[in-house]
Amino acid sequence: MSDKRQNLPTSGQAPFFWVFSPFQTNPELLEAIFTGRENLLQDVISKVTQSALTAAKHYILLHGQRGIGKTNFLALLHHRLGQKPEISQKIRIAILNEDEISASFPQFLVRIYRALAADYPAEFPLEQLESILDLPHAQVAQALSREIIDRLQSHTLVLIIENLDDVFKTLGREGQHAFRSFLTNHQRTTVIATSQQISDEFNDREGPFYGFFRQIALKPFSADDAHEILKKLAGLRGQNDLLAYLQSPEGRGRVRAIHHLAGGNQRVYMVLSSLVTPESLDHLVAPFQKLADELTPYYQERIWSLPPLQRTVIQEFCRSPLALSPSAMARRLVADEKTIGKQMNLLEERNYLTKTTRGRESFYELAEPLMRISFEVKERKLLELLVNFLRCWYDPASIENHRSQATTESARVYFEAAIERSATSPDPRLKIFDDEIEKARRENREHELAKIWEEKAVITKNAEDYFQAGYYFQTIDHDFLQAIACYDRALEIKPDHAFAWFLKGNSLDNMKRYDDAIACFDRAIEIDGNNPLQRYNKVESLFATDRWPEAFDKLAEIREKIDQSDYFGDTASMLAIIFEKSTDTESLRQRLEMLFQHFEKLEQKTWPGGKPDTSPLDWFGDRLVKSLAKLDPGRFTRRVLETYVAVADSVLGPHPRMELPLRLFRYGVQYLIRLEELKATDPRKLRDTPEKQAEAVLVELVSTEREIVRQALGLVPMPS
Amino acid sequence: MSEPLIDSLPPMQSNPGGDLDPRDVVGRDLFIDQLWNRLEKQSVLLNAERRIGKTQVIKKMRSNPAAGWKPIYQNFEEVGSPENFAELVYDEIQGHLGTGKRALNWVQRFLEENNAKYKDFELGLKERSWQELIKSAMDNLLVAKEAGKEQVVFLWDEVPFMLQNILRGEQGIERTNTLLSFIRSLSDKFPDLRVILTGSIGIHHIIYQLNKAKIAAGPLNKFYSTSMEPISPAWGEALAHALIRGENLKFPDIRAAARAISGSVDHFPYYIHNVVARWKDDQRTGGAPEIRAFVQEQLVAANDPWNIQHFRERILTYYPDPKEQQLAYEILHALAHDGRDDDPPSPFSLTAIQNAIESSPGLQDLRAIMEKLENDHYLKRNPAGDYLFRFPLIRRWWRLHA
Repeated sequence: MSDKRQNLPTSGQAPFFWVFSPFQTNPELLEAIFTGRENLLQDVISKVTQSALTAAKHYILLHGQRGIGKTNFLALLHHRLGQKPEISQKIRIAILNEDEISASFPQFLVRIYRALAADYPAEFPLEQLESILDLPHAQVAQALSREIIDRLQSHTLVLIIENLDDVFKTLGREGQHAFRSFLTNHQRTTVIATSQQISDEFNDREGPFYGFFRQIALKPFSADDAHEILKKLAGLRGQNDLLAYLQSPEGRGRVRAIHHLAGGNQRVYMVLSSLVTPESLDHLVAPFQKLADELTPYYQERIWSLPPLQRTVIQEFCRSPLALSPSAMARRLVADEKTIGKQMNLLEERNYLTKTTRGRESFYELAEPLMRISFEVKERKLLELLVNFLRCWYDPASIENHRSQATTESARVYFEAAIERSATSPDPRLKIFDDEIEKARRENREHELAKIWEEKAVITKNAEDYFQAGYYFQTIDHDFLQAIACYDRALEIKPDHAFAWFLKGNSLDNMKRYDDAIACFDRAIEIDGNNPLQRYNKVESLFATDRWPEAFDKLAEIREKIDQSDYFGDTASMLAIIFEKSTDTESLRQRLEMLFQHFEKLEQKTWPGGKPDTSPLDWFGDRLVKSLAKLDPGRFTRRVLETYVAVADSVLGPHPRMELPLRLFRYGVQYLIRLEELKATDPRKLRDTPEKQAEAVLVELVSTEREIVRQALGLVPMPS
Repeated sequence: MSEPLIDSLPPMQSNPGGDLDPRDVVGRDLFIDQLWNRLEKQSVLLNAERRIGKTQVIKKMRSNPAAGWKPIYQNFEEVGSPENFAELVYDEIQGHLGTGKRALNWVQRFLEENNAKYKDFELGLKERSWQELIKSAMDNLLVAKEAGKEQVVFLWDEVPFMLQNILRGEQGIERTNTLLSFIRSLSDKFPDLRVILTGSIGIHHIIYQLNKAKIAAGPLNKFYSTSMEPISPAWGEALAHALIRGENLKFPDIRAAARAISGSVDHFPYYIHNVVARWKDDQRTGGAPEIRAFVQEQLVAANDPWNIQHFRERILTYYPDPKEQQLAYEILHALAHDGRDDDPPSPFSLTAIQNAIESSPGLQDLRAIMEKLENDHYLKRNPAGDYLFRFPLIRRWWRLHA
């Protein structure tokens, strides 16, 4: 397989990307910027491999909006296949690009032959094609089919076809049948094709290609993917300053804002990538307008292919910067809500809209925000997308600077529009971040929240935003260093943020920096002494540093100073620390007794602020069982674990309300002991996994009690 | 292999809609054996719903023929004339016999093969030439068989498509009838000739149109007519299990997931492949309940990704008589709405159906439409002769959309 693109000069030059013709781009560059679809590419390669090595033949259709990266994907697939001699020797690849059409099956076969001749001229000589074309027209298809199959010899033909939906439309039903017959009769061809949408040609049960293709939707780029590709491009271009900026929360935040405006269209980022450095500002407007020119007919065609009512719905979305519910849309269109709701549902199914739900209400927005371009081109002089891009990418002050440096009139006009908008409306990124936060919460993408809050905080310089970022870094990402950095920023701005001190203390405690943690808890207690959280956490840190008398004094202080509380500390962790750190039976007994006495005293305490909803003793019993999950049986011998049970029995046994928790604790420990024994056994001698087999020790418990122990041990999820 | 254990198949890659490696066509061995046995006696007409696996079955027969047989597979869906059909058959036979280089012009071939025999070809060519082309090829086969070569069985795929194409063309009815009659006459002239004709459009619709034009009836009545069911639950579950492993999907309980996948799509191999592929492509997570919910999503999705609505829409074209349409809808509605969603389809006697529908048709009319609904894969009959939905999946869809 020849690859002429390898000859393109790259060394010593800034890499050049053919934004609209990725097959022309040096494949090494495509590799370098490939983002977010490695698993899919591997999967498709494995299907081509199976097609090359066995009688199985796969037919795959990758579909997605224009500019989403379909051709990039195919170009890279082509490159990767060429890199694997064990496959490339077994296949012959014909690439049918998007620019050519075939009005009949014979024409289509001619295209295939020519594509093969281009890459394998010795095996597919063009003279042979010419002699076949001399035959009467009615005989060309059959003759050419046979010629291609014969000349393939033992190879599998890999047909890479762009815009298969268009190919099918021009081929017509008759040509489609002929193509399917060609594929099925010879079973020598695998097809990897792309399409902008799933048209009837692929799903009509009467059509020849009903259910024939494995249809894979190429998902739009996420904000993270967009960020990744811009970083890769900056790296390739040697733009180290830009790379560093993109890695900062501020840079990340700007990319997220742009993503919000542009959606997941890969082509947009390829264009944007060359515009995000100050030196290229004068060249900003023209490429943007070129992009709009290129995309406008596509979007207009997509909108005009819709039935009239759906078209009006889409036009209204192009006007609105907000997500809209069916009732809001019905109001705007002065139409029946049920009818509009149904149309919006259909538009979602057809990938024009995306839907999110809030409570019972559904909100829709454009699946491709760039669709607005087609509308703006028609209705306004300026591309709002570009104005918003300027406002998202540059600070108001730097926009002013750039305006004065602009050397073209069109660039100046856009900068002025951005300045004017900044004077009259708030930073668009704030609204974008709020939307993104809400959306990430709704869609359970909590792992993204820390970064979004941090990006927002960089703009707002608000302590609460930094605090939120720290909270998510700590609780979701378990990135305690980042969390502490955010709490520090919050505390620089608002030094009396008690909760920031408290959570910083927790992060430090998690990093086993107990003294620093205690200092933070002290500061939090100083600011807000009525909150039991920080007081109990300080006790836990004191336990962890073996400062037992001080810790129990602090528990007494809590009893004395807290008048109202439904929270009694992370007792399960405290118990686990006591078990772990008490190296002799006597100290274990004493510590357990003192902790239990704290709860007995709480139970008897008069609560001036109101009695707790949960009885402190019930809390203790519950946490005793839950402490099972915190015991690492691998660290303890059977004897030590049995000692825990014996001591717990002696301390808690006399108290009637501890009877049930103790029983469950006892069985839980027996489970842990059995589990360790089974893990040490030859797996071939086990009838099941060690975890499942160890559950036999729980059978004596009644089912409800057994279930509680299983939950405490993490064998089944805790009820929410 | 009889019924497999759920984890007994090797890992397999999903390939919905693609051509499978014959080794991956599972759960069909018994059916294939039955077809070989039947071919000892007569040719076969295999008519079954799209995507049930007809082509994969006959291609597996091509790859692993029974002793003494030489299968020749051809797909005729693109063919629009008897001449073209004859040309393709002739070419394949010559390829099989290895009789020299294939000529490109079939008339030229005809001359080469038959000139000495048919001196008057110029007079009769227009009407007879394609028949004679095939007959001469069959003669060659006969000679080859007598010389000890294996017996050829033709696996002719998508024949109803071809007939429909011819039917739509000029003098369609006459030419279609001539072709069908010719195929029948071949078996008279060549008693050893064996063919498996397959198609998803019921060939009975073609014959119905010929009958309406008062042209020959039952041109294929010497063929053994059969259909195909999905694979057995045990094979379906084993297939799903193999696909899950082949695609490295993670489930909390792989056996439960395999059962859920196969069961929720009525053990249709195509849909089993489809669900596994989609699960992977969408990066879905969950277990058996989520799998069932996913299949349900496919049934209720507004864009009807599995195009099941077609079963309802095609009634309008299959049964042009409005009374028949009405009756067909009423019958399917009554049968779909008996019992709960998850219940297996309940069998109805003819009388029970008559009582369940509003228009109260006469038994004769009812029998006629029931026969059509059965031929068109809506319904089947149990051993007691009662009717029920052939595919529970279609019944579920009907319940959701009626």
